Amino acid sequence: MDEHAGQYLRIFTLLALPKIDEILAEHTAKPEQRLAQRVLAEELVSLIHGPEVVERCIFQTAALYPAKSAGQAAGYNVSSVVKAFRGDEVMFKQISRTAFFGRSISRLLKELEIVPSYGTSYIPTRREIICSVCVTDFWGD
Amino acid sequence: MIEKGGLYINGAQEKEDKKTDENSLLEDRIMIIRLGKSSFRIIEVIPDDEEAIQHDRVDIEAKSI
Repeated sequence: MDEHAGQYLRIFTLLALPKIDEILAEHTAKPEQRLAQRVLAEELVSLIHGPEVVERCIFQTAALYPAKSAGQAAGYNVSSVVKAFRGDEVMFKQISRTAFFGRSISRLLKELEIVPSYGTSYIPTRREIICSVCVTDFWGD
Repeated sequence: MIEKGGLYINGAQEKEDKKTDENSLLEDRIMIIRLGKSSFRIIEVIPDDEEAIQHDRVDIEAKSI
């Protein structure tokens, strides 16, 4: 991906060429920040699904990976995660304490309709793929 | 590296089907689930007497090309 970042930015985005050169220069200087990949993800999602979806993805990413964004030690900010995802019908689920504790993971995933059934292949929805475009970049794969 | 199709809970890969306990939650409140490379879920555990939020459907498909 690193070696193709510039090519993909030119092909798949509407950014001006001087702007892409600027992004690539910064990306080359600090590849660990994955700037080119992030811009590519943001531009693509924006073109296809609109800027409001990009904003939500970025907010969710920042909530899940605040430490990585800041280059510090890993750590979750639970309040921010809840705030970022609450209202998202697909990605956010609530369950009572009684229903949660002592339940097997497989049963939990099935009952919350996270997987159709345990042990079967899981096909992510388009909504999940959209959000993972930005989020995955921070996870590092 | 995230394993394709792998199940990750709060960032750690789960390879067996264990039961949930107090260690399953971050700050005694949420569980972050990742299924493979493309799916995330956040589970919030709420008090028994609190009602779960009812989502209004947002049709983002309509914005797709």
